Amino acid sequence: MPSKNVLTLVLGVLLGSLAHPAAAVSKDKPPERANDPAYGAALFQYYQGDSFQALTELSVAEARGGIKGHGDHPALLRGGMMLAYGMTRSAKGVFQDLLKQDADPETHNLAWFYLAKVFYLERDFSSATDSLSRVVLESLSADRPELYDEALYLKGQIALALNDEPKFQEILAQLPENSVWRPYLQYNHAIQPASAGVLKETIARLQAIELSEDSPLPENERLALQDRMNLTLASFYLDDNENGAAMATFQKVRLEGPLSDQALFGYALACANQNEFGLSLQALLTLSERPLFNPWVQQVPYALGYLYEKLDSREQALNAYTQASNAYVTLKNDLDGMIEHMDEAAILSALQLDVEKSAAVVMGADGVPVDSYGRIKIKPANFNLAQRIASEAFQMGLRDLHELYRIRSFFKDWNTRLNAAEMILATRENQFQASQKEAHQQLVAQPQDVLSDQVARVRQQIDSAVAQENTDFFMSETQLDAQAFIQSVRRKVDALADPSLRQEFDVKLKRIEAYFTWWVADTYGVNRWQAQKPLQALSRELDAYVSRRERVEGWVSDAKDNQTFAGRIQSLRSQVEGLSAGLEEQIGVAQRRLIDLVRQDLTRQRKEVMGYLVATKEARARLLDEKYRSQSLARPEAEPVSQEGAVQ
Amino acid sequence: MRISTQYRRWMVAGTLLAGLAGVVRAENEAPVAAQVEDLKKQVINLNRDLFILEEDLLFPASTQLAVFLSVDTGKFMRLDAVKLKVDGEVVAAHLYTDTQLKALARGGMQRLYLGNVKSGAHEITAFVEGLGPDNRTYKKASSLTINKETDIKSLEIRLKDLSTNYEPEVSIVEWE
Repeated sequence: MPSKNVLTLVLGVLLGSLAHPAAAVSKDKPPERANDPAYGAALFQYYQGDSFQALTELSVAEARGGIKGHGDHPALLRGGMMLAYGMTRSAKGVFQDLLKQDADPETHNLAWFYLAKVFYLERDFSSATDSLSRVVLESLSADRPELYDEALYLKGQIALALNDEPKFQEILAQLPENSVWRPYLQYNHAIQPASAGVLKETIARLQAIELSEDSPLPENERLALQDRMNLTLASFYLDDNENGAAMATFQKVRLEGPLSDQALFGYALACANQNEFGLSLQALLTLSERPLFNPWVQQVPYALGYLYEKLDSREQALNAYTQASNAYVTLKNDLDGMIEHMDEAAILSALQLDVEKSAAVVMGADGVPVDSYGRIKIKPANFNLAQRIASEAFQMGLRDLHELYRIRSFFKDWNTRLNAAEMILATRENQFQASQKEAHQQLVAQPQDVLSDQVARVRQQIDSAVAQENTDFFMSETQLDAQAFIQSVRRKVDALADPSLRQEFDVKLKRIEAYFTWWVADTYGVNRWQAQKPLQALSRELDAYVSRRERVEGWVSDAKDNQTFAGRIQSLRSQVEGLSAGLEEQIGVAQRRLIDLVRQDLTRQRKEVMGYLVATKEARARLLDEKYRSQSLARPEAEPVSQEGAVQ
Repeated sequence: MRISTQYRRWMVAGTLLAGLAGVVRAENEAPVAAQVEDLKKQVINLNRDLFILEEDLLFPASTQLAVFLSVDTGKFMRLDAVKLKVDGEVVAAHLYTDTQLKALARGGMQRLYLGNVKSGAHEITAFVEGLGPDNRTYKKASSLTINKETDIKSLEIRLKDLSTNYEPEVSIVEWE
């Protein structure tokens, strides 16, 4: 069974449960209805693992007035998304900004907690301690009990890192017995003395850890942790020459588990130390069937020769050393070839996605599973890179390269979308221009201001005449002629020299004037309507004109909008082009970084293989020498032993 | 025994390295990480601007209709598919993956449809299919007549459990 690299497992287990701020915000709580669709849409993307789209959704919402009804929670969420998208520095800024604001106490408390996590991940223990000291643990315990445990775990880890044993014990005492964090903290505490070579204390601490089947840890995680603890404890037993205890403890590691190779090799070693060479040989023969690239299996060919030697099977030992020597030479040559020809494709071919159905890693593709820090969930497809894959530097490098490729595909997609937007604009503009030109010409021929002034002036005169009941104003043409005639007659009558004649005509004229006045008064209504009628028509025409003008102005406005859109498209295109230029360079840097890391690892492996090769050759030469000596003693005249098959 | 000691040293050193990995996990990141982070920030802003540009251009507020979908608990029905009609015409249909269902169950809202409608009255109908607790097939529908005005019209297809009759319920609600 192909074994997964242990470091990957341990890191995965630890980080998987440690670092998912936003998930932790909502985990174990009943679903809460989003009070703003923009917030719900961002969550939908985030919970599918697409932090980039989720951050975009939040950013769009912010540009459109922010998210309503969720207080400062979106900011916390943004910080979590940024962490998941590998933007640690930005996440830190978000939490720090949040703390400067007048947020509610719960938000402040959570912000301090997540900020502490960021500092902890940056190994800035001083700042992490400071942030954690500002977390009100009582509130956290009441509001988010799962985060309360995690806060204690962080404090414990920091105490460990700072070698503050009393503080550590104080924190461990506060951590609930059934907390999922407790065994991890205890394990990390247990192995600490080993770095100073204090094996007894390490063993005692590891023995004290209890991981019962009732643990709240998920079954897979509990078994993986149990395997890890057993393997570590057994290894320390071995180093402390407690070989019997080592054998028994190695046997507790599951054979189907990812640590079985290491356990099997350790078991073989413990057996050999106990002079149980048969058992040791059995374990090594099982291991020898596994791929030689596994660093634990690399030791097997040499160890087999050693065991046969211990079993006094000189010929078998000699054969084993010969085979080992050939295998190491082959492996060395393979490693040389890989070091020389290492490229991105070779690295990717050594990886698989760590999903239910293993799949090839396609960098930059959508849907590539990532953890809460944006690291791709991978496992080794072959074992030559297994240890390197597990390293943080490699995983971060792979994450960055993946993201850079994604950005490259975004740029390609965006150019297509910008082209589409330009095409839509061009079509729209053509349509506008055709109708706009015609309508605009009509408007130019009929200036609105002149028309409006005329209508207003006439309306004012009519309104004034109506108000003053000025019947003269509304007289018809006939009446105006009659009035002029009467007035001219009046002047002539007034000019008569004969008084009697003047009086006679005056009476007649007054009768005519009275009739005229009556006539005008009688026709006032009709005349007024006749005067107002064209005005109303003029008003209607003016209204139609105004409406047409507004429509055309709307088109003009649309045209201006089009220009604005065109400007926005051009601006975006320039930005994409600007970033694209630097992107290829960054992809190159990220590729070289990964390849260098892998080369370093392969070079280290090569050095180890060379060590085995030299040791194997020495052992083989020793055995051949002994064989020659013994044959010489038995048959002094015999020819020296043939060197056929010797390793070059 | 020199060789045996050598084995042991390699073995234990390796094990210790593995054991300590959980504690000492942060290695120095190269400056490229900072550059990548900066690039990511710019790319998010660009994506935002492009998103807004497309919406402004293709779905102006005066005609925009957005339809979201949410799931509340989902005990009585596991959502399988949804179909959306506007004025009798199918405008959106979706089949759900496990990942999407989990995202909905945790409070996410799916933007199911973004399109344009004229001002005035429109009939919105949602058809939802899924499985009940005993693998019983559920088909539910809900309809709503809306009046589109000059502002963006946002609707939510809401799938929730009714404790009164232990049945799933589908409704369409308007966002102000």
